[in-house]
Amino acid sequence: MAAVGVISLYLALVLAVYALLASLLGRARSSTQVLQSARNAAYLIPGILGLATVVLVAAFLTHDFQFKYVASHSSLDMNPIYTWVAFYAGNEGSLLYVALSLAIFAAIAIVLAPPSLSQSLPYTTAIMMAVLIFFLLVMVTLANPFATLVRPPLNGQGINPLLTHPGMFFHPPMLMSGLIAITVPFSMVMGQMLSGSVGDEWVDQARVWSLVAWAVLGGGLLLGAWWAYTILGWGGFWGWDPIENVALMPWLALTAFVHSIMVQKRRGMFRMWNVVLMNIAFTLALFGVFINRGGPVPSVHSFASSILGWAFLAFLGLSLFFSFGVFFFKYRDLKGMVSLESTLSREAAFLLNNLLLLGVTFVTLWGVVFPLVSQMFQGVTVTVAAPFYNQLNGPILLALLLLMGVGPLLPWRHASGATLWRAVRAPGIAALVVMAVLLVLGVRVPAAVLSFGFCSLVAVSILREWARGVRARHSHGESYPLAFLRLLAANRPRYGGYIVHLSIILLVLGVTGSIFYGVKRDVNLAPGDTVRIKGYTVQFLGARTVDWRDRTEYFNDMLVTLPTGKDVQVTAWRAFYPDQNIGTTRAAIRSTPLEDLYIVTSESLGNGRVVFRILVNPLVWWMWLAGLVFIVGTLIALWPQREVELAFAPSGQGMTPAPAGMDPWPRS
Amino acid sequence: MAPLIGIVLGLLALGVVALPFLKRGHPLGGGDALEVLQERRKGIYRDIQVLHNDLNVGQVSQLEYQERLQAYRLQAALLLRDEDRFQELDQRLEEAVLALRQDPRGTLTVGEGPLCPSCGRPAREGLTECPSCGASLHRSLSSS
Repeated sequence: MAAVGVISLYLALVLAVYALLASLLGRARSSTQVLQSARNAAYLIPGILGLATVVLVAAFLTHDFQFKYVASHSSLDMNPIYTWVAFYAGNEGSLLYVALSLAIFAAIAIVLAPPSLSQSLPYTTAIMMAVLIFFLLVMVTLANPFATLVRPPLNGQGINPLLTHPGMFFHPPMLMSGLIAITVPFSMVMGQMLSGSVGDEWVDQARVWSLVAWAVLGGGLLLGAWWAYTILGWGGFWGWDPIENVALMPWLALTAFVHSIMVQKRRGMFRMWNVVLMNIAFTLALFGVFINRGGPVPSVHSFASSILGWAFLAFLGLSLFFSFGVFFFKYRDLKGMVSLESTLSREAAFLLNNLLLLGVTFVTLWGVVFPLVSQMFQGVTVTVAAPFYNQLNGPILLALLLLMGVGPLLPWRHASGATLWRAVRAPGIAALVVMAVLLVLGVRVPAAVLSFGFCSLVAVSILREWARGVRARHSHGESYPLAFLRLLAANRPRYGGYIVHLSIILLVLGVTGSIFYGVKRDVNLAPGDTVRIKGYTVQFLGARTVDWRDRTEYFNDMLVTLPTGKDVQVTAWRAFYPDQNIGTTRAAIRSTPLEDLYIVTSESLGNGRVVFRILVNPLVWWMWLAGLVFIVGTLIALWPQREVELAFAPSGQGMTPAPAGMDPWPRS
Repeated sequence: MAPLIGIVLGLLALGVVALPFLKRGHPLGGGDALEVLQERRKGIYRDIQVLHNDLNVGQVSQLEYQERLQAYRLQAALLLRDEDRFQELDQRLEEAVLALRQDPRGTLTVGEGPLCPSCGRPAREGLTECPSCGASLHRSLSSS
């Protein structure tokens, strides 16, 4: 069956090349037949790559070790449930997954493209196909997932044990899909510029696709944090590891873009800036793939290092040259007629938000590339650790948090000091009260006090706007629940965005609590020993060992007396895989909205004694809730506004648009 | 088995890709122009909906509301005018083509004067060049 996989890859490659050339030819000759043919080719590619995926997954399920990739990333002992994880555990499979994702995204983008993009769509299609061709070429030349072995082994090498975790079903694919999905809005922006159109027709579609990529990437990052928290055994969720950072950076650039694009839609401003932001986001996404697949930076995530780095680096350089080249030749078409009227306005707040986000991005980028730079120029690899990022990014993130509360309160165009004071007064007083209460309660770390205070400012400003909107609708006869739902539906991008802001607050609560008020102790316990930590009494009951063919599992049972006096039993799990010389852990976590008790096995000493790391992490529970709120908010922001019918109704003031299906709420 | 699957896949792909060439097409954008205008108008109506809501929840001042509403109305009216023009021209073209089919030696004329064979816009009788695009008006549809 390997031959079927190879045939599928080559066929997909031929179709992608055809779609690219036919798109450009059809556009040049204004031929709808050639253009439709190009689109048909693009629609076929997901099916062809889907077939290749089925072939590879089937090889894993049937333990067909004739496939070199299957022999390298699975074994007879592997739980079949992890077949999907094994599929993208190495370079070859992950490249196939990325190509499949891009092909699906591209086909959907082409199908959903509105008529107003008909002039730029051929260029957009050509650019998406060019990126797809690169991934397919890499697969057929450097990393073929269907390469076969002349002498297949009786058993495979097995999957990396760190990947055998529920989070792995979603975390890597979401990150890879999120990174490659940035290709779609990037192609739309470039396509519009190449088509010579000076309009803003692309704004709505680019915003939607940016939000899709942003949401998928954000979800992947949060799932990665959960995976790190539960399996890596160091008690944290974010270590500023290079692989984490390279996924975070395009997300930050996209965050700037999804804010900035609203200014372009509303005021026709920031048109050049938005193109630059999209170029940065796409370049950082390719940089992420380069670091991830090429592996020049050591990381806990480097499951797939190889010589592919050079190919990715070359493509990164090419895309950088192309995107900024197009920008250089076309930027005159992007000049807007509107300029910033006041530094005290919503537009200015958006611009500051963008600059701060890019500040965090470039600090992080410097931290990622500095080891490479130091190796290149000094011959010494200098590792950049968490304190560097925390000290530089911490204050910027605090400023961003403050801006998240103040920015939406500012009016467009310009605001006076009095307007600003009226808008900020109530949320500002709430924030000051919260900070005062925290100080009275003994919270003395300035960053934590500011962080909690700013969180309350953001929350109060959002809730106040909702309350005002609901009250206004209620005064026209709607019940409160209906008024709230209709308020959300009336402007989904805005209110969905506010819900996402609330999720960021929940995330900040968890991060602030665990960073500044987490407690950690390493203890060496014999069965029966007891240790007390922050109100918890932990008694080590004893260890159980279970031997498997590929691993030995250690179950360490603990009796925990909670601060409430209630007893609960928890088990910290650890396994060792001798063939791969890898140990893996599952922390025993007792989670409540207030704090997590986190116990992880560090080392079994052999004489019955075990070394444990015990942590109490405040407010982490809220971080995982933030993930759910984030999804809900993004879905609302993405949900299309209700369709309006095209009709005009006469009114006393001349022609008044009165679309059928328009909000029946009486106008004031 | 694999070569057979490859051949089937290849033929399938060829068929799907070649399908548009077996159908009659029309020049790019001809059928889309009206849709584009209507799509833009729908977008303006959505913006007006949002603006109404913003006013009612205090997100915009009365002054900004009036300014933006007038701007939206103007944009929508211009689009509506373009749609009307497009539909009217389309209708006249249909009539002219029908008339030409009945009398193939005639000139492509719509209403009072001939239509430019290059850009399709109406031109006055007696002109030798199209006032819109400059193309020669001597060419009749039957000779082109």
